[in-house]
Amino acid sequence: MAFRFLHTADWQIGKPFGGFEAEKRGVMREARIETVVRIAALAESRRCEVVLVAGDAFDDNTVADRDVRRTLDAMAGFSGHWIMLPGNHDALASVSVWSRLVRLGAGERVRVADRAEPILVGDGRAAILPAPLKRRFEAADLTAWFDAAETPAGAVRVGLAHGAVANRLPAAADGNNPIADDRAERARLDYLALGDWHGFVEIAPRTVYSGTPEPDRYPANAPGHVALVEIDAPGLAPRIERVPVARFDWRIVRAELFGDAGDVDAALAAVAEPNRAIVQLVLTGALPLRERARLDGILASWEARLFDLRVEDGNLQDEPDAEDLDAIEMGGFVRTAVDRLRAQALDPADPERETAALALRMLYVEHRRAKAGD
Amino acid sequence: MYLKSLSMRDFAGVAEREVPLFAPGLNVVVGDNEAGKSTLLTALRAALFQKHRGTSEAVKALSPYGRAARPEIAIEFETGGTSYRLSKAFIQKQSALLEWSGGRLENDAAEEKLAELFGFAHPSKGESKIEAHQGAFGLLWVEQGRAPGGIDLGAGRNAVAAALEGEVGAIIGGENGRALIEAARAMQERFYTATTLKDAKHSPLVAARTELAALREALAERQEKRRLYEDRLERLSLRRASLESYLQDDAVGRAEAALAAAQSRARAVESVRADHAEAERALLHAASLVERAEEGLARRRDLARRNADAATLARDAEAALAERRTAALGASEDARAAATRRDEARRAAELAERRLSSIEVARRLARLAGEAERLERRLVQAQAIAAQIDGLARDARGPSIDAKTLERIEAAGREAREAEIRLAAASPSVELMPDDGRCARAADGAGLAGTLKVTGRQEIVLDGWGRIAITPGGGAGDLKRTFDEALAELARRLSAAGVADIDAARLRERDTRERAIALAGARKELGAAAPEGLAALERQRAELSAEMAAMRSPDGEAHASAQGDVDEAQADRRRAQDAMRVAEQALEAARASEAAWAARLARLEADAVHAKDAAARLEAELRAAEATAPTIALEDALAAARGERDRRVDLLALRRRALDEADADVVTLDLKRREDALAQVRASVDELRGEVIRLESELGVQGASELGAEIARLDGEIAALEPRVDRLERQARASRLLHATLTQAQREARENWLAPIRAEVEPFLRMLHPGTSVELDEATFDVRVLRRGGVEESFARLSQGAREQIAVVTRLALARLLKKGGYPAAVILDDALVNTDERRLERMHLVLRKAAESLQIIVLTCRERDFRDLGAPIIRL
Repeated sequence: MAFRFLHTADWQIGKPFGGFEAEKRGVMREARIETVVRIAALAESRRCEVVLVAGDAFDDNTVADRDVRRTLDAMAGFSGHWIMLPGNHDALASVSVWSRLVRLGAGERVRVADRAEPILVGDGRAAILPAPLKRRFEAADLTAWFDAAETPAGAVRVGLAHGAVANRLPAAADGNNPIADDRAERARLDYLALGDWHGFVEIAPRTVYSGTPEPDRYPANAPGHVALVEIDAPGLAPRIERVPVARFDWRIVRAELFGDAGDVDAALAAVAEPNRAIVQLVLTGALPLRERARLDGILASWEARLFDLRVEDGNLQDEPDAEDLDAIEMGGFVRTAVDRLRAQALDPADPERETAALALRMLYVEHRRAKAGD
Repeated sequence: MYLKSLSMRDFAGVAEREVPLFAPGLNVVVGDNEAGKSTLLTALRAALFQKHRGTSEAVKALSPYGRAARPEIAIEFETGGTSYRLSKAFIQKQSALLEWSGGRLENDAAEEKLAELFGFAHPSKGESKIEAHQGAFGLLWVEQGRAPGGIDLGAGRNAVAAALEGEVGAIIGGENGRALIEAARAMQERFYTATTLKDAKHSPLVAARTELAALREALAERQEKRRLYEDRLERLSLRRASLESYLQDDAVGRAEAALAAAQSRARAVESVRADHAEAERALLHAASLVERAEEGLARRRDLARRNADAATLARDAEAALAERRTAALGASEDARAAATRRDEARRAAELAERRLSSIEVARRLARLAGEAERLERRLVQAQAIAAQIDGLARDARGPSIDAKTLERIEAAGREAREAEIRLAAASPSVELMPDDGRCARAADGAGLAGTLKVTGRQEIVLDGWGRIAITPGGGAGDLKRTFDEALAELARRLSAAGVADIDAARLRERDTRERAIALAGARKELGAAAPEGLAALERQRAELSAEMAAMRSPDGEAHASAQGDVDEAQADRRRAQDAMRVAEQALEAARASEAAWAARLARLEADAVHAKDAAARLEAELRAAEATAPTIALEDALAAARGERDRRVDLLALRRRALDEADADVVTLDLKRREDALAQVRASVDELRGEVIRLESELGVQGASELGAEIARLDGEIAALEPRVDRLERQARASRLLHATLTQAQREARENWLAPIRAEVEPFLRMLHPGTSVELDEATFDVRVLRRGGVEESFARLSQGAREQIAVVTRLALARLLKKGGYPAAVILDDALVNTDERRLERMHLVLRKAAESLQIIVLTCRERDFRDLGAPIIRL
């Protein structure tokens, strides 16, 4: 019988989302626990023998007891065993969330992988080799012991670790807690279940980051999944299924606007469920002032529809055209002022360039407002 | 514009009037106050700007008062090179007709055309203020009394602006521009204070920055807490590892085992040390036994030796005693002989002494006899003197008068004498010259003869005659009494002195004196003869006699030998005495020798007895000792003790080696080390355990503090707030830049704009008020300030005359400017210079003429005289 398990990591329960409004924060924190409920249900429905949590189940060792309790409650939907590995956020320090987890009633189905020794599961058909982090940052490769680890003959060997696979992750990933990229091979692992990188990626043969099941940032590296893994026998390739479980859809939407603010609508129309979307809208290009003013209205409407919208418009230029300027009183000193601000905004050498562009836009808006008031 | 002609009918107070042909330049219209001069201006305004269909009160006012009429007005004018004829009728059958050579428009179309020609806008429905809808003509056409109030640009503003635009290429920007500046200022003041451009208190940027700073501070505080938490965590981990290492190594057990081993080694060393000490003690004991045996033997040998010595001594003493006894006998003999010799010498000396003594006594007796003789003589002499003195003294003890007593007696005598003389002088003298045989007698019968001084009652018995009683008078009685008293005093003194009269007193006094002298001389003599006194002399004589008596021995031998040679006797005595002394010395020496011998002998005898006793005692002692332990036995015991001691010395050396080999110091040090080590290990374990428990408890408390979440939240909030602050900063900067740019542009525009007005105004001003210039308000063109000779004056403070002149001048300048800009400008001044003095009026004529070179100017006035010399056509109403 194949050994089937669910691989997840980086729940980061208790993450505060300080950059969001208080109301949204609560929802986002709640969502992470609900995701655990879904994971438990998935493991249950897919008859997994064990769920491996490859580190950072908790955002911090000082996470509130209430969050720990609710996480345990969320895990109750799975009748099998949970093997939870301390990661860098919840390292197995002298005093840690793990000691509280046990104290708060984790029960025997929740096992904290707190030692570098094999854990036999599935009636001895599989041996889990954990590499728990005892501190936030380890300079050494804690998975090294896997190579020489003795496991029962015929048992599937599954490594469980948290860190950065050397030479494989993008430069942006931090290099702490290194893991050799050929560890699976050297340690004769059938599968190496990893945590730390928040996107789903099979980074080396039989070496997989499940990513976080509930995304917490924008990068489009396929977060929001768990891995359902099935291994028929030692040495046989694992069957890996990527299953989405996330509630929130974090995404970066890019729109290049040239003259028409309405293009933003087109770009955001791609968001399937706006009320579950946390969007960073990156706007580039250039708009005449009237379109810029229209853009504000369009964005306001999207802001109301999306769960969260952040607009990055630093590279969206104002490009007042003749029509804009005609709309402004073109006589007298106003004309002079507009010309000066425009010249300043267009001069790449002017340190006040952006300020001038903004001033021009403000002038335009004020002018329109005055007109509207007329 | 050139207004050519104007006619009206039923217009206000004017039934009908036609003003024919104005000149293109300067015109003066003269009319009395009620001649309808102002109506002219009203009609002109109505024609051009009032809608013919108008129903407002202003339009109604065009009718003649109290009469329904159809006010009509017609004007001819030329503008843009075209001549027009315009006629309008109001209120009834309203109409408007504009005709020119190329066209004709009626009613509204005509009015539209007018608005176009004159650059104004008709009021919207409901608006009625024509003043606001006549373009620049509100500015150029000045009603009576308005000039001193200033320019009051009003609705002419746009027209002026348009004209200026043509002139300088920039205009103010209108209401819209001002509104924009206001909006920019409002935006700026969200962030900055209006005056200093510092951060405003209510600035959202300041609030955001404050919030950001607070968040950062809170974050730093949490991070510090976090750091402390992690430090503790790290320390707990280290302590646990240390504790575990102690426990795993069984450090306490090991230390205890090591201590037990060390203690066992120490006990072994202790035993060796005890053996060594025992050997030392045994050796000391053996040595002391040897010492005692040696001492015992030595004492025995000493006793034997002393015993022998004592016997010798006793024998020697006996021998010496015998020898000394013989010597002592000899000394006694010598002493006896010396005594005999001394006695002989003593006797010889005594003899010599006696002889010398007799001689000396004899000599002394002789001398004493002489002395006694002399003393006797002195004594006899002195006794004689003494007898004399006695006699004198006895005399002296008889009646005597001393000098003082004599003096008193003599004084009393003198007084009696004087009293007598005074009495005699006062007393009658009675010379008795009896006849022969006759006698006179006193009462007592005594015969009286010669001269009789009668000092008192004197009875003279004259024989035969009887008695004559004579009583002197004239104080004779008192004198008599004084005389009697003096006599009585004298008699008393004489009596007291024991003499009869003064002479006797004198004699006795001299006698007394002489006796005293004689007594003193005798006493002196006695003093010389026996200074020590008579009694002393007698005592001396008695003593001398006694001495001599004593010296006289009963026999006369001494006296016999008294005649011998003293010197010889003395020499004999000396020799005898010397011999005696020698003999005495010899005796003394012999006796001393004898005594010495006796003492020595006694000593020797004692010594001998003592020596004998000692010898006997020692012998007894020795005998007793030997009886107890014979010497040979002592010697054997000593030899045995020495043997034992030597064995002990060897044993001690053996033990010493054993002790050395046991390395006792090292074993002791090691023991101490093991003890300390155990204590230290136990303390460390306790301390580590305590700290682990404490840290676990502390960390446990902080465990669920959500510190990490707090930090992450603050990080997030800061990350969210930073772009907001950034955005606000950009907005703040932009608002400032916008406001600054707008105001700067406005300022520049105004400066540019006013330049042509100044250029037009100043030549006129120079004509009117040389050396002055005006400053105009950029927005209203009102004259703000007049500058004269560097001094600024507010327009409002100028005299009415000056104000109206300047207002007119400015209007003329603006009109010229408008004209240049293509505006159909023409100026109408209705009594605009009524406050101007003659001299200025003259100047104003020049100004008007100059302005009229390019403008039509119509001056309406009621004072023809003021403009008589203007040189312009005058139209009289």
